[in-house]
Amino acid sequence: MTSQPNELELDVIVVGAGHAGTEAAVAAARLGARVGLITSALETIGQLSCNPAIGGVAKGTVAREVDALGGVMSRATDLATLQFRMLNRGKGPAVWAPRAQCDRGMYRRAVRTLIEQQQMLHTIQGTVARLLIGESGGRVIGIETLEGRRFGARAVVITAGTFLRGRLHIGTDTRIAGGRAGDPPAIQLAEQLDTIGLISARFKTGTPPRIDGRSVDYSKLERQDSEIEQFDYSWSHFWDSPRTDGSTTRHPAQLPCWITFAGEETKRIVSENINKSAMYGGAIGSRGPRYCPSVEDKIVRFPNVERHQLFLEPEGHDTAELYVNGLSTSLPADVQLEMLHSVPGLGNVRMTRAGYAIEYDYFPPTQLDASLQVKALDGLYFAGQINGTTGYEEAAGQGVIAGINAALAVRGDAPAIFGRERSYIGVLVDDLVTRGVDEPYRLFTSRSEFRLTVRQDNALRRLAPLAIELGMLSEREQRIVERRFAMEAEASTLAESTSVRPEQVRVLLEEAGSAQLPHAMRVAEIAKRQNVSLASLFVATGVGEDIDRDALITAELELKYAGYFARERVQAEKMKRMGDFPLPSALPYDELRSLSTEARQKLGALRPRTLAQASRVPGVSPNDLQNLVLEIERRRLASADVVR
Amino acid sequence: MTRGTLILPGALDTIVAQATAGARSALAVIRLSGPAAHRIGESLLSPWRATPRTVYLSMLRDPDSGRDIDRGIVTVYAAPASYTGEDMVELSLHGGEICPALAINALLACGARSALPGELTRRALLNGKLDLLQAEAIGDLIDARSRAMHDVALGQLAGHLSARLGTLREEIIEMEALLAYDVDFPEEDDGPIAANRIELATRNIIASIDALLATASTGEMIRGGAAVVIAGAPNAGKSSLFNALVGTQRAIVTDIPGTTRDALEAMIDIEQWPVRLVDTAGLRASEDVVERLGIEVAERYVKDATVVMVCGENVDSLSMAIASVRRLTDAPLIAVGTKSDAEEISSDAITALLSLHRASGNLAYIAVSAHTGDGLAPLAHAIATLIQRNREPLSGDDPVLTRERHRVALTSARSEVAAFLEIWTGSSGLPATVAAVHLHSARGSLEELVGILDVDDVLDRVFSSFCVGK
Repeated sequence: MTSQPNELELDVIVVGAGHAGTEAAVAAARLGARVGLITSALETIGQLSCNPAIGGVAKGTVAREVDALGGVMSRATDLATLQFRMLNRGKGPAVWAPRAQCDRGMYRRAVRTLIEQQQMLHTIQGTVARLLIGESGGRVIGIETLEGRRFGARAVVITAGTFLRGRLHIGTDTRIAGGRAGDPPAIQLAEQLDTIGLISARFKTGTPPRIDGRSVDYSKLERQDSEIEQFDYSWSHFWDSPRTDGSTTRHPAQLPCWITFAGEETKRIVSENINKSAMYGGAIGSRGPRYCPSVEDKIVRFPNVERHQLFLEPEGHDTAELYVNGLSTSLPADVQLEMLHSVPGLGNVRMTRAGYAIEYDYFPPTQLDASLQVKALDGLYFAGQINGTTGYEEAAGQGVIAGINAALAVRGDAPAIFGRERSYIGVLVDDLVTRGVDEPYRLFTSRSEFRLTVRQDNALRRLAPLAIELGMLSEREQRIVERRFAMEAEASTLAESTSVRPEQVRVLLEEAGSAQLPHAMRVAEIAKRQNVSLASLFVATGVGEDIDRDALITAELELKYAGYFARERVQAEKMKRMGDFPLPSALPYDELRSLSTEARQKLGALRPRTLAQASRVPGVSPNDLQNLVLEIERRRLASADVVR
Repeated sequence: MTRGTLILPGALDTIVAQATAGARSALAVIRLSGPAAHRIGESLLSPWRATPRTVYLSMLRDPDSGRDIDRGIVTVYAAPASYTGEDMVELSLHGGEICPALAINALLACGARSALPGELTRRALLNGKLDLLQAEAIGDLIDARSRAMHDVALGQLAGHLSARLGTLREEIIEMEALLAYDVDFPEEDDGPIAANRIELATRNIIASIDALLATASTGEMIRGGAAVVIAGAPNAGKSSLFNALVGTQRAIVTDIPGTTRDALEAMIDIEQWPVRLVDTAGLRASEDVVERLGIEVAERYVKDATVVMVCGENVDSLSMAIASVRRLTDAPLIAVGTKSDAEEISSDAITALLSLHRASGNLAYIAVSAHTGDGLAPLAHAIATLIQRNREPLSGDDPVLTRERHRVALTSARSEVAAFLEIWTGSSGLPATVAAVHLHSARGSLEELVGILDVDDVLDRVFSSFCVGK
């Protein structure tokens, strides 16, 4: 180890400035830590490397959870949205899922601006060569860059994305070492992580080609317009004024997306060239995500599907380039072009960038504890794709958790563990550290036991109190949170206290196909009808004009689904009690003969902290759980016998 | 209950119990189970061979005096491949009073402890050798008093019911997954899932649950026995009939405690059915306090009866008795003309009697002579026919619900699935994702039944449902 002095003494260093890194840095700084955010290129802070969209099912909820914890993702999205849709609109507001296409450049610049507005947060350009490890070997004390700069820190969060030993594939012959098209990979850091005893594995992911929008025949495409309405990701609650008038000035002008499809001709081209694909030609052996499949995957695995939908998404206002969502591929560039030309509307299209597959190292996340700290090395935290996840939102959510816990550890405080019943972020982290991953992990509503009570509209209510308790929100932000809560309360009170005369809602109910009122009723009663919104009832009765629509949704859902929410909350209580049943850390699983062999091995390797965690380990059956409790009790009694 | 009671104190002791009844018999089987079983075996048996699952002849000697106790067959088991899942030694010795008693004393002297009732099976459950339903089945198998109950218990022990519930659970999870897919992939090419696919799957699940529930009334009756009650005026020949029926069957006759004029109860088999035959006090208004208590007991039995035999020596007494029994129950009645050898009741009188009372419920007439035994066989057949009525016949390996706990859990699962179906096919407009909460609850009910548990329920689930006496 050189004796060169540290350039700067910091509390927390975050390596990588993507979606995990930026959120980790901001969260730690909000907790009062001195933070250094190190990236190999400051210009790429907040880069949307893959498709230019934030949100979607479950992911939109995570973006708003990150917002409630003071993160930057939602605010940057609000500033960069050029196309917005609320997915699942037909399935009831409980499962609405916001998704925003972003202007890539605007998003990136917004993130960098927000980062630079954060107190206590230094941005540093450099490529990390190695971690500095304390003389006793047990903990991390800083980092050194390839450029020879050294920084001291008491905790380091690594958010290396796809950069660790990253390798790009275009067809079977073209392999480029890189973490993203145009950026070099991180090799030395990966090698050092191996030496501290961490096990790594390989995943792959891919991107589609991008095209020149000026060469597209739009007359053959279906247009999909934005539904921006009145939606802020950041219940902005970090913005100065909630919108009630429908005006919208934060984001740029809206652009349409275009829908086309890959049909028989495209399928033929892919099939004929399948052995040239990096993935099918044998160049890549690692696993990719099933639910974000390459076009090769789609055609090989689902040969009977006649056509695969493609979305052409604008890259930004400053360019005509379009992102061909749905055509992720690792075929050679010439085949990609042939494939594009077979798509309706793209007959004469020019390909600006070829799609590619990228293979990268990840570290199976069961090597982490619930605070995302590496079990083998104190002070080292991992967040994002390095943990085997995919998706900007998943990365951001982990970043917040790692950032919070790194700062708490520096302070000497106990870690903050987010419950599954309280957030998708909690589900995400718990799944990672207790179940591990066998393919790139993406969030779904079906991963959560609490998909009715953990929603995008109530992220603030679920998490802001925790953020305030941890000291992460400024006084101004706290006032905004309080105002939001007051609005929800006001909406509920008004609904209970406002009476509606039949003639006030005659037209409204007629249009909703709902029965007319026999006599005057309270708004709260009528709002229980599925197709009558609380907002429309307030308009009809002339109350609650100053209440934000987002707050109205929260109040409305509590009316409409009260019984179902109550059930989930009972379930949450049960889970919490299970979570309260501790499993001794020294339990000799090998000796627990009443458990199945698989359960003995998995539990022995993972050492879950609570029975609730054990229950989510795959391969652990209900009988195993039952016997686990019995074994623990038996041992407890046996040791009591010894004492006696 | 606190967690401390979850495991009985001494759960790590080595325990000993005589597995066979302690009467005069050719053989007695003694089981030794626990961590020290092999060590104790070694110190008392000569020769001793620890090889698991071998059977050999050996001499058991008193540890203190070195005197021979008995020569018998030894079977050695090593954990986890044994009934309890622990190390075990099983001794087959001569039966009777002395050999087993001396053997057990010798084992106790070497550090074993007398097993509590049911402790061996409890250990089997704790060690994952059985699930909850199978543990119940072992108790049922030992207690089986009829071939029907034996068959049902054997099927449940083989895991038929566990497997069926497991399948149902998988089907519900599959539906939950389909609904989740619809939410999670809003823009997939496949489009929304077909409504009729869900509806069909839901109806199938309900049909499966109904098929199981249909076995409950038969199953619970097979397990508990059908209550067949003999009622009638004092001196109407009830006790003679009781004795005659019991006399033709293998019976366990017990005095019912707590009554002054005891009702008598006997467990007998009538054709394939286990029957609790009850002889009651006379049904008539009485000034006598003692007798009145007896009558109250009788009324209680009649109210719970599966079939009531109303006894009388003549048409008038039968008619009165039928009328008073009918006020208490809607169960099918058999009018039994007792003393048929002494007094013949004319067929016209019987026809008149039946037509008078038939309007108020099911009624048949059979003449029986307790003295000669005439009419007993037709009577037994009539009872069996009435028990069989309105009950699902059981077939082969199909699982059967035998306990109230089974029925309650499945009824709850059914109502949840039905609630989901109503929302799915109805016009409430409630989103499917919200309705899916019902499926989740249904799954919870099934899991409860198989023994999938919440921590808080561990105690109740594991031990209150598992009779400690077995």
